[in-house]
Amino acid sequence: MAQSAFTAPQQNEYAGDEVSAIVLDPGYSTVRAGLAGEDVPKSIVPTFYGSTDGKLLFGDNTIHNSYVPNMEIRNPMSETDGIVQDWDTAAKLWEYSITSRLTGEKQRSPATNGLNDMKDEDVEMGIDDVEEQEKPLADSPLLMSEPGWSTVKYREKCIEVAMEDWGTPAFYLARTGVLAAFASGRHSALVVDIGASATSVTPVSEGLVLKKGIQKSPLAGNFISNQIRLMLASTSPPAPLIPHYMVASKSPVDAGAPSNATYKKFDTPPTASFRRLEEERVLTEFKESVVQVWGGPGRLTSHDQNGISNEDKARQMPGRTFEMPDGWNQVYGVERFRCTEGLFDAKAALSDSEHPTPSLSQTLPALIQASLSALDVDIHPVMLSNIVLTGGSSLLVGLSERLTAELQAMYPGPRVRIYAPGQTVERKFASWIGGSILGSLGSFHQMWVSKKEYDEHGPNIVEKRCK
Amino acid sequence: MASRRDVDDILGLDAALKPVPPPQRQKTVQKTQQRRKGGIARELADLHGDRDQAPVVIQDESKAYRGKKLIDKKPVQRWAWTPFVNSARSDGLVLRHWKKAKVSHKPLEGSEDTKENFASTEPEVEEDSAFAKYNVQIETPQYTDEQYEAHLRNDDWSKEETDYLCQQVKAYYQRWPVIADRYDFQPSEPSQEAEPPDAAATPPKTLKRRSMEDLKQRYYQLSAICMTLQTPVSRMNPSEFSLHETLSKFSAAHETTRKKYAESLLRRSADEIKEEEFLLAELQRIALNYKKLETERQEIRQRLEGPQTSGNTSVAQYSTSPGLQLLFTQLITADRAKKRGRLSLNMGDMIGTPNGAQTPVSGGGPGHRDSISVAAGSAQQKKGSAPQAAAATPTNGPAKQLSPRQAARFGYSTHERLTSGVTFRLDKLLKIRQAKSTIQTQKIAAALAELKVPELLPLPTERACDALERLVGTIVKLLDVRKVLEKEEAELRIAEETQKALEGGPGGQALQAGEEQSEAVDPGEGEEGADGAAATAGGANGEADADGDEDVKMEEASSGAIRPPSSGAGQAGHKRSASVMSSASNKSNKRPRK
Repeated sequence: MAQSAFTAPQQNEYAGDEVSAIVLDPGYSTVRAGLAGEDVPKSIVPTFYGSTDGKLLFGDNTIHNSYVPNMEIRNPMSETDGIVQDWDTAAKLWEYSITSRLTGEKQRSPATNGLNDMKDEDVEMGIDDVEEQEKPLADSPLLMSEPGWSTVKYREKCIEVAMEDWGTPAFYLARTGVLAAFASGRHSALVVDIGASATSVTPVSEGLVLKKGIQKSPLAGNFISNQIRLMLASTSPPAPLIPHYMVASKSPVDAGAPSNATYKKFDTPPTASFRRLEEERVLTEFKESVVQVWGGPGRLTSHDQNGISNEDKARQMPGRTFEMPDGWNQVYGVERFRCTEGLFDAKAALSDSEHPTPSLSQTLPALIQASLSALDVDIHPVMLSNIVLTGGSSLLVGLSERLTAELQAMYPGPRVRIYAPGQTVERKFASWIGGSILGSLGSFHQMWVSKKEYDEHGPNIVEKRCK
Repeated sequence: MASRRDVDDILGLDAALKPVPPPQRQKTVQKTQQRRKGGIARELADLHGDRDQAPVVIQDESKAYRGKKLIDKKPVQRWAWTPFVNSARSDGLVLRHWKKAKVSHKPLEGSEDTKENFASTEPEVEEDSAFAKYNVQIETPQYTDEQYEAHLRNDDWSKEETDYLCQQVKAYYQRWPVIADRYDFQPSEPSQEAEPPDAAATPPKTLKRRSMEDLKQRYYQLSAICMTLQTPVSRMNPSEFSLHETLSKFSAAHETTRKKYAESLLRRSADEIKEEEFLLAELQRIALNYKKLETERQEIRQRLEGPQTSGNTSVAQYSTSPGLQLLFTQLITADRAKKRGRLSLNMGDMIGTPNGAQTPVSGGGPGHRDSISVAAGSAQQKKGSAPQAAAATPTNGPAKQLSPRQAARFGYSTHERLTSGVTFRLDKLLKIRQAKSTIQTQKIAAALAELKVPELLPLPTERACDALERLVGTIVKLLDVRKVLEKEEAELRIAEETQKALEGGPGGQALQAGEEQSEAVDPGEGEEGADGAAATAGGANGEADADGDEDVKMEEASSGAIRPPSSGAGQAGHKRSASVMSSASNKSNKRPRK
């Protein structure tokens, strides 16, 4: 990816040998799927799904439709650690993410593909094809990613679904940390992945995860959303969090003034979970356009040598305006720094009865410190000079600068270098991109777990082969 | 195509009322045709006016653009979705990739072709993936059960765990951080272990946590022993032998301490790092300065040892007044070019230059001699002192009076008597050290060594040389006095003994004892005795000294006069007895160190 996409690799340096493998990278917020060898996942499907009258609705276009009555929005993943809870739905959702964009109808002979005049005898063949198509992945090997802390049971379930339900000829399970390191072109790295439900620190040494050093905490995207909610509620008057689907029309108002909008009327109002999902969309927008991390040096609450607090400095920076869907708008000054300070400084996190202050060991610097202390001393310098920052929530403005400052203060001796690509896609989909690289390598072909091996050894083979 | 009329008609506009102007073009065509009939060249006709037609550029048709021919003679390169196997796999998994189809594979008829591409069920499987060659496995030590029992037994490690270790090392390609991370040995059922009698005794031990160093130690030890089993140490080639050496020399304890140090190095605080950087910079600066000083000293030494011969040969050119003036100007310009250490001379300092043919050498004749501190290799090469020397010549009347400070600055000194020729001060110093007898010379050398005066003064300035000369003189005096004292004491003893012998018979015994005592006096005490001698010498010199004996005792109590006094009380004790010595030693101790 580092090279320009327009220059072909040299014949002798190209190590790829594509077998049209499919890479699946499921997360709490979205499921990424695409063909190995491409640079962006073709299919990005939200993990949230709609459920109405026993029907499951997948994909962005359906779940954000407010006119589907009684649609409950659910997520098959666990909110605390991003591990699958509802396996049936998760498998269906993943299958949807693959089949909706990647595997179309199987290419058949022109005599039988229905585009030409049909003879009578071809009808029977068509039935055969339907039977074959029941296995959606019969042609493509599948490379799947898993979090570093996944259990043996989880891994066995993954290969079971892939082999038996989807009929893939070959399967491999790789850890997200390893894949993110590969995406950055490193075989040894300390991968800091700030996702939606969990933040994790994964040390990778020569392409293998060091299990003892894996650390995770719930201070991630959802935590910041909650912080923003608390912040919005604490302003006076509290900011109205009205999602887009409720607003029929609006007219501009002054900053801080009550909104002047007409709202839609619903015969059967959408469910609370739907509203929550739509509110999250607004909060995501807020995160992307307003929220910022105090870039250091020092914490937001600390003072510099002259006794000027960093909060005062942040106050002097120009504020940012945010307009809610109903037209209510406000300029946010130092508040936008406070929402994210909890990631680094547990005491500075906003809290109420429902959302207690996080513990000190859950903050980002503490995680990295804990991870390193579990590792051998000899690889500390390697890890610190190869910190890879990935995950959608790591795109918060100023986060990489702050992390650098915190780590340099913590480890003044060794060289601290953070690799945080500026391209949004590379940061958001790092583990998928790593999977795409790995899956298209010629030397990777010997790593696949084949269907034959699975039949011989059972699902436990994934423990032996996918280290 | 619908004309305007049609459109008007459709739109219901009155088309008939608006007659369409007849097309003009036909007329012009006719015109040109008429003109051409006139027989004039078209280009020429155009010059006449009425240029309604642009001149046509004549083109070579063969060069005009022609579209690319879509039909190539060669057939299109075909790519086929071909299956292949990878020999690095044991299960013969067949994967497919796009590959250029073989030429022979391509049939001529189109109908067959499509069938081949789309409907072919099983094209032959390609031989092997090109990437199978990257499947490299590492070698782990191989041993049989007998070999294990004979050579590889270890109380801490069961055979089962050793096997597990080798397996892990192979699986993780000797990546020790990963091996240590994933090492999780679970001993199998005790029923299996019950077979060997001693293995059953140690099952609780196997469960203990192994550090990376433990694992490395065991594995390296294992590898080393297996190497010797294959080829004895005596028959190994050098590379094998060095490998064996490194393997067998591995020490877990050493490695653990190394890691502890590495850890503390990583955990340094910012202040410590800053301090270290500062100290390193300081060390570098000192080393640089030392080098500089060394080269400067080297330069001075060189000048002392061998005066520049080139100066000697051309010295005649400076023996005349204009020559001297030239030299002076040269020296001043050289001095001005220097950044530091200027002599602050002006051209005005030349006033005293003799205008006669008298050379400075002859000017020094009547007993005055100039000395230049360092570079006085040749008497002719004089710097600032040259005018003074010239001024001091008897023909020019009385010498210009210089203040002591000025004299010291210009290195101006007067001597009562001068030896002829040029000498080094160092030579003089060597002469001082030598006494008449070798024993005396050795004694002087010993005394100087005790005072820590170096053999060769690093910078023999005049003052330092004087101080040394004085010091040596004092030492010589001291030695003389000591000699006298010893003689006196011996006489005294003889006198006492004769007195005792005269007094009575038992004195015979006492005499013997006294002799033994006198023999037992060690060299250190002899030195102290010398102090006493100095004291008596002081008394002899005329200083009022009633309690000389007491002084001797005090000296015996303190460390000794020759060593520099260490405390105030010691110094008080010295005051009278060895005042000359101590002051001299103080001076001589300080000077050379400058």
